[in-house]
Amino acid sequence: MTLSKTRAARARQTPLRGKVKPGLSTRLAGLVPYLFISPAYLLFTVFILLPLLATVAISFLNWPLLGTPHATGLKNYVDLVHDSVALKALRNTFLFTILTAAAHLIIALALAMGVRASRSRIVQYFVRTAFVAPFLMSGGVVALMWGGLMNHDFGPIAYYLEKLGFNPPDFLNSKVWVIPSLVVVDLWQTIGITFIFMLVGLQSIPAVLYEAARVDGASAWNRFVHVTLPMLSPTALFAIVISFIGAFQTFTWMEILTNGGPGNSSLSMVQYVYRSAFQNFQLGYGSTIGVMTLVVLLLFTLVQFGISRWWVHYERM
Amino acid sequence: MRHPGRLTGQIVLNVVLVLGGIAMVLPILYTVITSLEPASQQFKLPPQWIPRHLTLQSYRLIFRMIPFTQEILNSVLITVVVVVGSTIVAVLAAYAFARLHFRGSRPLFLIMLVALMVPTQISAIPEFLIMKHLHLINTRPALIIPALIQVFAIFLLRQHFRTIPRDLEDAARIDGAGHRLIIRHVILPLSWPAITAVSIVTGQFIWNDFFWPKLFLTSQSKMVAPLALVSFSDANGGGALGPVFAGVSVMLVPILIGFVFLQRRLTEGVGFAGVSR
Repeated sequence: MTLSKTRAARARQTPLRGKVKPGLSTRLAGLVPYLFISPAYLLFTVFILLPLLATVAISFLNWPLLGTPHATGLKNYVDLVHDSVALKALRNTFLFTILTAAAHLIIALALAMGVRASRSRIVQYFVRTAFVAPFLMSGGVVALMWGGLMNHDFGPIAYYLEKLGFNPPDFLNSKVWVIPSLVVVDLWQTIGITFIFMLVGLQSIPAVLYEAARVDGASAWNRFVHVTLPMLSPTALFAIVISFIGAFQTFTWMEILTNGGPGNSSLSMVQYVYRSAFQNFQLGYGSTIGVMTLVVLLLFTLVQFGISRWWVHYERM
Repeated sequence: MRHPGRLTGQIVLNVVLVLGGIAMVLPILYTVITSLEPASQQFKLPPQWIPRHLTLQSYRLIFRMIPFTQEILNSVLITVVVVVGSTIVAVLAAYAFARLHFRGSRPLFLIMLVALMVPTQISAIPEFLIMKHLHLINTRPALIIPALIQVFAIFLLRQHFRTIPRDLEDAARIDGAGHRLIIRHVILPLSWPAITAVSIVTGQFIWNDFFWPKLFLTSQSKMVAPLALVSFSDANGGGALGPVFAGVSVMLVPILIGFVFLQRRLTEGVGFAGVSR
């Protein structure tokens, strides 16, 4: 009885057993997605994730480049809080970032609206090309070019400003003017991209909305405030976040044009990480500055997204 | 556009726009003109916008004093290899994240996305130590290998792949097509605008970068062109304006070539990258 029962049970199982093999290969097929993501994830782990975690770990060490590392607990962080240079770098980076982001937004929007309103195809084409072209140049090359242009002794900018009756400062050697000058260099190279974002954003606003506003008798200003701005706000948020993150990592301009000077008044955070590690050879302290940079950047990005709920308007058409 | 008849408005607007465009171009023009002047004229004010004497002296100097041809080739090579390599890596990963169901796909994707906000420069120290252990300091692979992962590209391509109708893929699968054929004959043909956009963004990023070359490359012949010009300029002080500007002008050539090929794609591509956030 039991035997035949088992046999019957087995018999019932046999067709199932036949499916065990495809089951296995299905399981193997289940590995295929992991194969697809494995190159990306391997690189991501080795060159992004692990270095990030390592930076946090190293920030708790005292590690001279040629010496042996040993743990110092929070000492680096305590030092950092009392480091006036770090504070200066933070201030410089903030000033640079906020000026850059604000200028990007205003100039790009004005430019995009201007190009949209122009009826000359040639002008539209010329402006688009002229503003986007510098974006293709390499940062180092752009810096060298502006170093000549902004030179106090033989640069044309100071010369023409003087001709116009101004008394131009030595742009790159003035504690007050150095950051705004670097913002100009940055804008020259990157404004074209924000401009294109805005242009695409403007084009995607349905004309119906403007027609409706006009029928209701809205003035040009009201159409701008109540149609253009809200409809463009997601694009604007994107542009702000992108230019903010980009500007916060700024390094090239300071490194080439001013070397952080005069008197550290243009030293940026990333530049300070670089200096601490590869010029002062303090790997631990350099990492601590890196961690702080990251924390500040993440906090600000979160704040931006938080505030954005009040001004960014998502239309579901 | 919406105010027919406002002729004066149009004229003023277009004049302002053209002046803005000229202001953007003038720095480049000044650089090219100065690079063509004899050394005695380069520092003279007012700047001569139409120089009387033209000479290639500065160009001869820069090519003689540093291995500039090699360095430009380094720049182009690194950019091209990274664009092709990182796009392949990104297409594979984006396809899996957009189309395949597997355990952990959401958290794995989210971890990458969070990393998108983290500037890699802040991890320069471990990055340098890794390269030192791999004996890659002062080699081109030090710039290429870490750049093969472009999280932004994966994100953008995934967003795009999700918009491709599944029916197309199902039809291909019923006909017996595997992942390789589906990617090649369904996904890729419908994704060229997205892939172009991703390539442009990545290419610009690599071409523009100064931080990693500065960190990893030390000997002249290994350097990328911008870094080589900067170190040449630092070594020679302000006196080398002519050769430096000649180098800058030469660096405009690859861009002009790129611009001719990309033209519309460039603005469309960047716009695309902006819209599919």
